[in-house]
Amino acid sequence: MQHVLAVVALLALAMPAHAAEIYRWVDGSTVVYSDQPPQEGINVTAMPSREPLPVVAAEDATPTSPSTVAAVSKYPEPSVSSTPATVAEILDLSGIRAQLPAIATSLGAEYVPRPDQLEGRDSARVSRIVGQHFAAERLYAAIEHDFRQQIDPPQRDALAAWFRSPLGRRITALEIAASQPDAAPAIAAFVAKLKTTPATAARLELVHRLDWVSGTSDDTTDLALAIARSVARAGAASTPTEPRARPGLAERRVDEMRGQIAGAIGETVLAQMLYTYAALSDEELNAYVDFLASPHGRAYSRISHVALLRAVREAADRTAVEIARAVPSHGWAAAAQRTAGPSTR
Amino acid sequence: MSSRTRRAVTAVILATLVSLSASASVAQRPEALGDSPAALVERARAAYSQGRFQDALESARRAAELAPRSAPAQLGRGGMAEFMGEFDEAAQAYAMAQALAPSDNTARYRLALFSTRIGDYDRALRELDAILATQPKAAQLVFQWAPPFVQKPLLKQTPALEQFVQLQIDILMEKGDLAGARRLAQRHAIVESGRDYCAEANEKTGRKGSSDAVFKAFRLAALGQPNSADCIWWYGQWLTDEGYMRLGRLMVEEGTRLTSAASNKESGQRFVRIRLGGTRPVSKRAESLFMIAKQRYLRDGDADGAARLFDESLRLSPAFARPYSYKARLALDDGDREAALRWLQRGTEVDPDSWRTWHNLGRLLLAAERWDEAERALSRAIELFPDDVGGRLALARALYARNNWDGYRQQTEYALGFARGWRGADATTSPAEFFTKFQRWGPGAALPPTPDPRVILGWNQD
Repeated sequence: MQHVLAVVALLALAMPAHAAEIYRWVDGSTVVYSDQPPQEGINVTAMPSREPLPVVAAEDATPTSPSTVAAVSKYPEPSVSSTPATVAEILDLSGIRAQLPAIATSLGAEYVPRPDQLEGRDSARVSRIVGQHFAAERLYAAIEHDFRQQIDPPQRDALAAWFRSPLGRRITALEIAASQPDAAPAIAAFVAKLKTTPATAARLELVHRLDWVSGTSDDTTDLALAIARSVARAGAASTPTEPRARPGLAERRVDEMRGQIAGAIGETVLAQMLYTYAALSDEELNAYVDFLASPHGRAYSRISHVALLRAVREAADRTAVEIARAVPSHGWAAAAQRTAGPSTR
Repeated sequence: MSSRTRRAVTAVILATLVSLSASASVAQRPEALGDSPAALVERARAAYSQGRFQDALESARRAAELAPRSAPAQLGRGGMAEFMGEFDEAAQAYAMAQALAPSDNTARYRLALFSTRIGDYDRALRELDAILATQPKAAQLVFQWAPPFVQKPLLKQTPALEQFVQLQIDILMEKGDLAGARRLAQRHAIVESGRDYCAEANEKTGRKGSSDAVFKAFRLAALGQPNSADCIWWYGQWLTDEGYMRLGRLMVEEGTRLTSAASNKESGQRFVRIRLGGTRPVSKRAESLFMIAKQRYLRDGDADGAARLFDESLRLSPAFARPYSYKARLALDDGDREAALRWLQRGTEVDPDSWRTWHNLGRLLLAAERWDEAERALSRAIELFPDDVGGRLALARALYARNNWDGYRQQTEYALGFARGWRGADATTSPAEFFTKFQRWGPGAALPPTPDPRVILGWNQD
């Protein structure tokens, strides 16, 4: 579940990441993304801190990942059966089920305000709405539904053959480990190390191809934009100003940022992949890429992407609309005033 | 109405508002200055200069209401109403102005411009004749019959006179009387025989001259060099992109008539059919409303005002395909994709040969991931216009989504090759990079990007 793997670490990096080029701030109940800084007096909201990504181009890097090895051992191996595969088994074996809680948390976090942005009661409302819609079970149900609809038994068996294999299981374990929040320090350290000991050309070629066949960068960009669009739509719908805001127009502006976002995400994806599969040999990684490039692998990637994206879009839209209703813009403004500091008399 | 005429209209509006400011101050009532006609006129002028056109219209309206016997006030209102596409209001205001000052040449000139804009060319010419008739006989004779070497310094010394002649030329061209327009241009030394206007225009293009300068040069080429097929055609294609359906058609048809190559003739005829509505007439008033609506939407962000004018344009010329695309865009701005699709489908129904409407419909279906329908619409678009780079890239994506790799490859190779030849590789960088990976690694999971680059003049906009 390569593309899902990337989401967790990347979404926070991706949307607000291009801090030099993309700004994010709160305008009323709307999170505004823009390639232009806000007007004077508006605070750009805190972005997750991150190192600039290394340019990974040189040869002879041998990334070490003891933390990954240790992390893998923390997660129980999925049960393996020789019976005909079921959708549930594939979603288990591929690591989708295991990764969904972290994905849901990561995506939902985009809506959660900073402690000083809202009153405690409003903040709790927002968290409740986010928790309700960005629940792992909901995302899982959507993905499971699509797999049941679109994968026939021979395809299930073909997928199961890969995921049940020792290499398939090992890769799933690596992906799950890398997707967990506690892997973040190890990833950061690995990325820092890439600056001095870059990956080999062969490995780089492999991860580029892995990104190509899995669509990870593109999928992550889609998810990031889905969140941003939902906020833009809800913001436009709840803005009482004249002339009336137009949700489609706001959405189009978000889409126009795709190019800028995609570049940053692409770089992050490559670094993340280099970390995740560092424990694999080139031959092993090549086998994984070949599996994903096969018709069955392609179908698997496509279905999981479409299902996840659809589920996230629905959750994002509902979340944004409900937040806009539950916490009107004056609630955010009042909090902002209070946090501006005591008045001088 | 050409861009030059449009600039003249702008100048007239400003001048009218300025003169109105002076006259209204005379007729000022004892209200507070903030509500006086003079203050309102000043406010209108300032708003217009700052691009707040709706505010300018409101102020001009109030000034006209407060000074109903002031012809300049009525002219100010008429000018702003015309500028905003409120043609009924403009007609009423101009009529009042003329009733208040029957011999005022400013009112006559404004009315001539307005009549041109709404397609009442005979009225426009009558107003110009009336203006001329108010001049001394000797001046009339000089103006009408003096040889070009006298006309040239005369017009140079009297900009108003040149403006007058240029409007006459525009009216004749709008009427389709290109020969008459050329005769007039020669008689008044607007163009001189033997001068290579076409080369000058091409030089301006090469030196990246301002858009206005370039197109003014091509207009002169169309007037001064009746055999310059390429220049005339080029001018027609620019006019088409801008929305001048009637004048654009006149120029393209003239360029097509002049060209000797059979393939160029076929190309010109196709352009008229798939880009200019073919046999479906577009009234001048509908065309003007469409162009103003575009401005109100794209320049002013006035979606509601624009929608009303697009509707009025469609009421006058229901088979005019271009407003349907804008109605679709407005629906999309409201987040209503289904309504947008319906507008585009209606556009293809009223004009099944409108390439751009099929192109837009296909791309919207693509965005909705309705691959089969997108493929059909985009296939129709490139059947009508095979060099449609954006359409082919979009079709390539639809085919890719359905695992039709050969189809994807074929469409992409054509689009990339054509764009490279016309605009260089920069126009299609992202699809080219994607295609390179596809060739190297086979099909990937992500779908190919679909920019819609502007490749050839005359095939853009909407």
